[in-house]
Amino acid sequence: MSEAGEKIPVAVTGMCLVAMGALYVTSKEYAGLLVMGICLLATYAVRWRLPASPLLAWAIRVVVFGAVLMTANPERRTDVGSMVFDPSYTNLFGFLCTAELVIRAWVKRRGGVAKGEMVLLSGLILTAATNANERVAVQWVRMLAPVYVVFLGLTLRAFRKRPRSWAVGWAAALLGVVGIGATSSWAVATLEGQITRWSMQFLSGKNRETSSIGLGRTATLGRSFNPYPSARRVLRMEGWPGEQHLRAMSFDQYNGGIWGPAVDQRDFATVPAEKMLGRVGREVGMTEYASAYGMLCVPLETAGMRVVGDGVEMQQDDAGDVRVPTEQMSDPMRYWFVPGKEGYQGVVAKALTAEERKWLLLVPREMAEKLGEISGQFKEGTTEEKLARIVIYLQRMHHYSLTVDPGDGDPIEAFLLKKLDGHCQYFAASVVILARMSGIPARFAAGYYAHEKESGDVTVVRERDAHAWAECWVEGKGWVTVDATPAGGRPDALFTETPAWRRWWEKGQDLVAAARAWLGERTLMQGAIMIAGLAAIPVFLRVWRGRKDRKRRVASVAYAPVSKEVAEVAKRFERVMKKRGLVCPADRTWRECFAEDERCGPFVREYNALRFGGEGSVQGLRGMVEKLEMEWKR
Amino acid sequence: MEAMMDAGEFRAKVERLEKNLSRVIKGKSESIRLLVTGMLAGGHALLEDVPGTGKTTLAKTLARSIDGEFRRVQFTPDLLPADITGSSFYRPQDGTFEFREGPVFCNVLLADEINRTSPRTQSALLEVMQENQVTVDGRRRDLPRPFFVVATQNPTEFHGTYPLPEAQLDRFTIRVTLGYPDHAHELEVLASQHERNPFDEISAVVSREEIIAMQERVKRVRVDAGVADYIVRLVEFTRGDARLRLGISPRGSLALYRCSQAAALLAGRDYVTPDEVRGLAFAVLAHRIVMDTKAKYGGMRNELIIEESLAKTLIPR
Repeated sequence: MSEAGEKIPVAVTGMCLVAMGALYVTSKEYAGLLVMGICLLATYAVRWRLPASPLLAWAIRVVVFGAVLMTANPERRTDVGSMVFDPSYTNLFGFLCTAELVIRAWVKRRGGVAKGEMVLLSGLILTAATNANERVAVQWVRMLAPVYVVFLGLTLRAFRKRPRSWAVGWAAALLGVVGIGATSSWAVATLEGQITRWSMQFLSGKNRETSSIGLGRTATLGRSFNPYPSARRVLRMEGWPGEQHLRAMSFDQYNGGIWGPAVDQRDFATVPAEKMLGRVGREVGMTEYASAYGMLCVPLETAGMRVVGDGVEMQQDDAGDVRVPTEQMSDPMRYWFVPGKEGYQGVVAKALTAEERKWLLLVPREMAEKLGEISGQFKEGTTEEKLARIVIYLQRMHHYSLTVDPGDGDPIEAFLLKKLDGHCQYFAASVVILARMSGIPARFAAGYYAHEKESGDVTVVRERDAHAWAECWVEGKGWVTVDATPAGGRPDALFTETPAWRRWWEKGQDLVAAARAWLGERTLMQGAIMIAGLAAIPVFLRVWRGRKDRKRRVASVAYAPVSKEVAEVAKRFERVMKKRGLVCPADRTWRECFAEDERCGPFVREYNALRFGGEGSVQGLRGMVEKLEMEWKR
Repeated sequence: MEAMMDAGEFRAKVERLEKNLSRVIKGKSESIRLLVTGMLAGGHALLEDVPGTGKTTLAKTLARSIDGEFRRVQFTPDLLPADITGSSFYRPQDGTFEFREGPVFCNVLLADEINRTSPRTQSALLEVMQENQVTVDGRRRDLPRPFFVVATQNPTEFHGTYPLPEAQLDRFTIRVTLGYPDHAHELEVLASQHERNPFDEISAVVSREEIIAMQERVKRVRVDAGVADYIVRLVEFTRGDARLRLGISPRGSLALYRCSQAAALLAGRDYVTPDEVRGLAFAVLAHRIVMDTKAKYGGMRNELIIEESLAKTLIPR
């Protein structure tokens, strides 16, 4: 085609190149993407464009896409869900989008460069590039994303002057919002801990050292507990409203301020799934987003449990703590439990053996001596009475404080003897020590205190809800939870507010997870049907809009017919022009399309004179068309 | 008048007229052509642009180029309908009423800054413009022929202006915008007015009779059934549009028809092709559309509707 093509706006090219660059670092299509990038840049050097013929464009597509698909070698998958999230597939998709983009850049198009389409395609390429396996690639993509957003902003300027259509404007705006949103969410997600820490330090005016929060492999009675409460979501509990102690692990050995044994050094034995199923009842669904050493959080009264996923096994130690080997955990981990009534002894609360009983009564000798005076108050009465008195004593003598300074030496001794204020771990540990000294087997439990209602019977547990309490053995009743922490110190009183943005963010996460889970259940056949359905939408819209247009267009009724000879000459002329690659669209006149062509200009003038003015003869026109045909053949 | 003017003579006269106009208004041949087209189509023209672009000068030059009666009315907020049409005066000598003609009794009426007067006074022009007559005190009085109204208005000012009523806008056959001249032409304007105003050297180049003859000649230009159909389709497109409160009236299609005839003759042809229709669609149709408020504030413009209508209407070939 003789006419030169328009240049692509620089911002659009920049955006496309950034997206391609992201794909470049993510995928292995180095050579292919380089060629594509060069082809895109070559549009600046060469003004020639492919003629706007759908047939030719499709032929090129068939060749290019065919070549890409033939050389691609993605891993074989059987379900749609894993295909959608498999980088080898998404990268292939991104590469196809790149090829399409380059083709669109080279094909001549009425109304200038297909900016809107290129913006959309580059967005798809970047999206495909974000799905990467390698850490380095992810970091690269994260660095490129803000650059992309900048170019996107510049591109919007190119649209401002003369919006081609509402759809393009909307698509650009949508992409802009998604891009900005993705960038900012990325920034928040990466810097979240940092931001929280900075703001905490800023607000408190102190520069405290960071100690481990949440749950550790042991429970260490430190100077502070949860000093920088993080609102990171740990658990989501569906089907059981209200406030609950969810235990993750228990400790029975006390040594100088540390409760052990460490979770990762215990012996866990695999328990058959049937055995863990326990009693059948109403199930509570749990989603675990973060886990400490694979421990599953359940109430003490759990009557039965099961985990989701094939080949995932549950393991239990002597104390009844349940875990799933971390390598078998999915992200997020899903499991179910059947809650029992208060005091119910189910799969977690194992009956006490005689040996364990002895073990759970042990108190370091020096400590026993020092604390004899205090524990002497609790020797009388039934077990329940003793425990009640211990709790009342602790709450009367101590106040809640997030920070403690127990000084050197044993922290519990210091806490109890100096009547210090402390946090939940001190209260829990004191209950265990005092109960043991009063002849009640007891252990230290660590987990979360669930209290934040998300909606209906859905409860969310966050990292800051970490808590500690005591579990005591009451003869004739079994294990019971004894939480001596003053009410004002429990997570439900400390943390009541969750920012709205975080709740929305989590809702989004849940939606993605649900979509992922749903896709994971689909077979390839169902996936193909889905894609066909999606592809049918634009076709349907096109047909529907075409019908609507035709209704609106008065011109669907043809004009009164002209004489047969004139019509025949007109048809011949159009055929000749089409062969030369010149097509005049229905909304433009021949003079507008062909006036500058010195060979067909005279014909158009003569034709108009005959057609609209009744001047001239058909023979003369026929002669002119024949001349044009001859010229074309030559 | 009886013997029909041939196309060559017609063109010669128009060229003389246009040359005269372009001596004063530089580099605006398209706007001049539109104004002349409107006049030869027997209609009235609305010159719309920002101040200082030469609207009044163009109108005055056109009036002076025609050997006819020229009147100018400066539309002010206190102008009354009678100030335009004329009114009856009591004669105490013989106890009768005498009608004194207003400024409309002329061949070329320049309605300067028409949107500065109240709609009441603007409406006095409704009958005048459509029917070339004035009815005062129940008596009909015909206006001289030819009668041509050139109104100017400034679209950007809002203080103390009254937008023209739709019925009034519809009576303007053609709307012409001038726009700023380009660099070279502006220099030419400065140079031409260095010592004296070229406007002062303008003299009449066509007579009243010649204008009437030319208007009659325009009516003889052939319009193919397909082209007429095309005009109606273009207009019909705007009538069913949900974004519009008011589409284009049959007066609009008639104006486009007549103007296309004039344009074809100006191009030296005795038949109208769709090109003339398309070339005039914006000037003749756009100002007649009344946009729905939502569409208006949604960034829609009258010109875009016309553009859409042109893009979506099949062209006769």
